[in-house]
Amino acid sequence: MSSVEFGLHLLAGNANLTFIAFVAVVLLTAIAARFGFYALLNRRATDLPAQRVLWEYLAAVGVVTAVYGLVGVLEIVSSIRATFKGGVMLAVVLLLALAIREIYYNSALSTTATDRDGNFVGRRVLELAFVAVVAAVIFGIGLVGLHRGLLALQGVGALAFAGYGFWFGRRQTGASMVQGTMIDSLLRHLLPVMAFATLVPAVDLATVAGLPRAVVLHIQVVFVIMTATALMTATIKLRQNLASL
Amino acid sequence: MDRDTGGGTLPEALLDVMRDPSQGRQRLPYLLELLDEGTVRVRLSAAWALCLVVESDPDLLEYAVRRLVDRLDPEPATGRPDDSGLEVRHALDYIAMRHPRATDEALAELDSEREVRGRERLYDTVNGFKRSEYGSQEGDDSHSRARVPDRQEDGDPRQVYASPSDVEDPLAGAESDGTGGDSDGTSDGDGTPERDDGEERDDPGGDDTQTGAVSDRGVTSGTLAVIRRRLSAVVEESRYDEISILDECRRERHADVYRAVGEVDETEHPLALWLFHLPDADRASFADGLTTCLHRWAEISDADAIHAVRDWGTRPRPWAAVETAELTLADRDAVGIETAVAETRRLAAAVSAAHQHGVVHGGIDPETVVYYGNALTDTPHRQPMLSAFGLATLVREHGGDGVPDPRYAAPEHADERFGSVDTATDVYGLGAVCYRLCTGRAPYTDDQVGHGDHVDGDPPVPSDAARGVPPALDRAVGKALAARKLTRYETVTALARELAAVDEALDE
Repeated sequence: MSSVEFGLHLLAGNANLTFIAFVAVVLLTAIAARFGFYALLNRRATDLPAQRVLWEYLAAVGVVTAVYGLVGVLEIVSSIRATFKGGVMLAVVLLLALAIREIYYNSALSTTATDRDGNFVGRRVLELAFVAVVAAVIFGIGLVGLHRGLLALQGVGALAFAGYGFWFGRRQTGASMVQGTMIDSLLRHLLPVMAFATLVPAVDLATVAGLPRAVVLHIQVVFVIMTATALMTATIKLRQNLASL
Repeated sequence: MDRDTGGGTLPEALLDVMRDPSQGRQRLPYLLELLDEGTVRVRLSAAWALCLVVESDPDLLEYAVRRLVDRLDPEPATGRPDDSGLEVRHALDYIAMRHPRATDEALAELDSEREVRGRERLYDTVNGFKRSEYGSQEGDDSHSRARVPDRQEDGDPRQVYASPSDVEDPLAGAESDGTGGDSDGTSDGDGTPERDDGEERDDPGGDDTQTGAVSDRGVTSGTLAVIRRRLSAVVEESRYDEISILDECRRERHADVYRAVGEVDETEHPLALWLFHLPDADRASFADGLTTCLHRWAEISDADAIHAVRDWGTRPRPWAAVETAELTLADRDAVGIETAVAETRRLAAAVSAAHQHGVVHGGIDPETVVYYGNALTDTPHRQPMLSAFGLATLVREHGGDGVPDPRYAAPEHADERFGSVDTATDVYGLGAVCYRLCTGRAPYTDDQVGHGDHVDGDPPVPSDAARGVPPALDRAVGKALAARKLTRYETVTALARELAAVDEALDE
């Protein structure tokens, strides 16, 4: 096992890309950690069971996104090659989709408890399938490298998770019983986060299609920055909600 | 030691003072000693002798007040009877009522602890002496700016209204109180002197200069004279040149309220004088909080649909002069859907303006929605105003309960798991008021609140209890009444926007 060397390691041999990527991942790490922190504070500030799961999902979003950022930093400042980090972002997308679904299924919202219970088994099966996809991508790429099949699974998985989340989000934002409420506002801030986060792993589909890896990395950096930006505004909603608790 | 309940021979020196109070200056220490040690008869006589001396020589008032306040036990010693120091309190009450301004100044000179003790005693005076007719006697009111209706003073060109109906004349066209009030005549613990109903009412032609005159509201001028004396220190603190008290007080949620007319630069303004109820403890903190609260309320008083507070102070007890508005939504039945929506929109605009200034009402319920005068029966075009900004929160912080009305209160009022009282709480209050306007009843019953239905179940909607409610209005009220803030309207503006859409749909 080779030892880890610390020092500047260029991404795709490109200094400009490396510099911008470094700024992006540091930004993302800081903002994601802050997002997770406020989600945890909200979780701690409310004892209402109906809201607990939501805050736990959002705290997980913050933590896993921060992990993605840290891994990105390590890739630049050390010899570690974390080719699996696309799978980490895939996990972020899944958590966001589940958070949005939780908002939808919150018993105080647009569906009744009966609906929730009736679909419970189906939802659990689907969740397991999604988790299996994430695990396959992370461990598969970790073991065999950037295999085209795994990259395709990563891209398609990201789009599928996002579609799942958007389906609930759209139903939610379209429901008149939600419009104008705090949860509506939070949801509208989470949807852009999920959109940009989805594009980070989904862009790897372009690699499968034959686009050079360096170009794909450039595009991913752009979406990482956009994800960080959207996450920052979503954090504002968490702070607002915390202030009212 | 057993307290002597009477008897005993009055010392000759004491009798000398009572015979000739003008010679009592040198006897004051002696009289004060008797207050501490004598029999009931002696102590009571000493107390009245002390009062006579002060009447005879007002320069001695400050000394007497200081020494009497020193004798007010902050915490009566164990084993002492409840009436311990009763004579001291009576003497202090008498002096304070005869010379309110001078007494107030004397109290202000004391250190803070003794000042608070003295003021607390005088606050209690209002209740404790409600049967007193001190004020009906001729007294030192030469400096008093509080005036009584029915008493036109010679050489005074300023008009003092003789009856409530007269109040309206100079303010015709303005939003004046047109009801003449609805004094219920009760004074149960409200600090109002009870009327000597029978004799004085049956003998209007008797002594009509002070104690015998009876207004068309059944209030004797003597009674009002008592009120005047009690309030004269308040008037001194106010920005008004004069305040004419028109009526006995009504005991309301936050205060005893006197209908009055205030005069500034020869212009008269109808107003309601609020003397706030005080908490049992930590009154200084309450007064500070109230000052802050009223200051913020005054800052937004110019906005539409906000009941204006015009002046306030904390001496001799916390008070405020506010716009006259004697009716509340609590007096009102269902008003019809269109009116309900229109009035809720108006109130929402007021709350929104308050929120823009950083002011949270925190206790919206039907008693805080007020109307000018007799608006409810005369015309449907009188508009509601929102009153008592911030007072509910202050009262709750000082141990008050039942504010706002639990049937209209957001869950966060009772359960901190639902968060703190903030702008979202006002959204809930507006939703509850809208429900009340539509249906004439509260969203929840006391039993439902007791069982926690207001936090566990689906929010009530007006169509549950009223006909012709459009679904859009049901949705708006349901969202406003959501127990969890996350699912409630985020802002009052969002609620107002949906109500505007409902209003437009109703117009079509």
